[in-house]
Amino acid sequence: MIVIVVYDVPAERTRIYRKLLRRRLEHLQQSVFYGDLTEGQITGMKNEIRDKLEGDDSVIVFEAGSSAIVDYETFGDTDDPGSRFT
Amino acid sequence: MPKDNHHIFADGELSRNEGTLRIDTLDGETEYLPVESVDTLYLHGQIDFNTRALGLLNDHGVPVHVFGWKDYYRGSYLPKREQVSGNTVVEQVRAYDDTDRRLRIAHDIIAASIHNMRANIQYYDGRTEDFGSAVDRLEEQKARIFDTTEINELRGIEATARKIYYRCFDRILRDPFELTKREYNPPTNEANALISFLNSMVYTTCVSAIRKTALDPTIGFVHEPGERRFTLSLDIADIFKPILADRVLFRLVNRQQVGIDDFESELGGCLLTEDGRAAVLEAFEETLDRTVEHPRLERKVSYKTLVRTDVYSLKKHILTGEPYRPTERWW
Repeated sequence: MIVIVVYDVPAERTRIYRKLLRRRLEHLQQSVFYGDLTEGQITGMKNEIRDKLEGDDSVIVFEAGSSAIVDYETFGDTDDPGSRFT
Repeated sequence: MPKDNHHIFADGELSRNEGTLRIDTLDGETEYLPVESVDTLYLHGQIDFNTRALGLLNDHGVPVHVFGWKDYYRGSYLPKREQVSGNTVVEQVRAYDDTDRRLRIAHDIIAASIHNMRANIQYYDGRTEDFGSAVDRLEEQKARIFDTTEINELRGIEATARKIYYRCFDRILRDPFELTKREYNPPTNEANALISFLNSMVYTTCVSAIRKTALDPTIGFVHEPGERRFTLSLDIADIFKPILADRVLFRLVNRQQVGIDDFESELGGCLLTEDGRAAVLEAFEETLDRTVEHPRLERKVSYKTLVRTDVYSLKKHILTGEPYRPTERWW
């Protein structure tokens, strides 16, 4: 399943979520992550997010059933999301 | 849904950072790889890495295949075995040692291999050329398989079939690509270079798939177990070369996704350039992702998963005697 996660948290707490999300998802921009995960991975990720939540933290997880139904266009200095080549 | 492979072409350093993989390229770029979403890592460039990075890959069961100069396959770093089963290994060796059992498995593998070759030729038969006689001759070879009582004889049939098969390549491949003779070590022309490179990718795909089972990769049934090579991977790769390597080759060449200028000749050998390799790998990865409806599993599976189900089927056959069903193109 295609997942897009965005967060808005106090500056000193961003690293907590960055670290958590980078293990599974591609870091697209400051607080935006993208990837193709299994349902199990998504559940695990959500549980970890829930455990870390505090005060003003806000995290949004978008999910879509298949990559075929998500279109994107990139502008400027951006790599295509989901590239398998470095 | 299987995870994706990741290929690193850049030169640089691979390290562990904040619980995931970090790549610092010599160009000064830093990238993070989601270690939990990577299936297999392929290193094509010059990469430095240390034991901490390997430890992380190990924890997440990610195999690393290393390609050296001009993308010759150099070897693999395989994670600690997750699947261990003494029982399986004992049965596998028994199956190898028992002439009848070994021959039966080898028959099935070669039959599937020839079936898949024939399917490719049949696809192009009547499309551009007439391959009727080659199809018939492959069919003849396939019919002879089950009469053989010796592994050498069987390998002879396989070699004959492959010769018939490769002879058709020249007419399938769009000019200026030509294949009059299959040559490697090093490949002598562009078509040979492409086949060699794609075959090594199929081989590593099989190494990764076998690693996910308790089977011992060094004990094969068609190829004679020897030193320093994964014989079982060679066996399984024979089944999948026509599906994964050759069809990609035809597509790349005939749609002109690679051209003659994607190769360079050196020291009597011909090899892909970096751009050429990237184009080939993109097509190969895309093929691994293709899905077909699987009649027995009753769901769609990707070609990559097919390699795994094939190995699972072999393991089950070895353990329980359930019939081994090597992948024969049914679609």
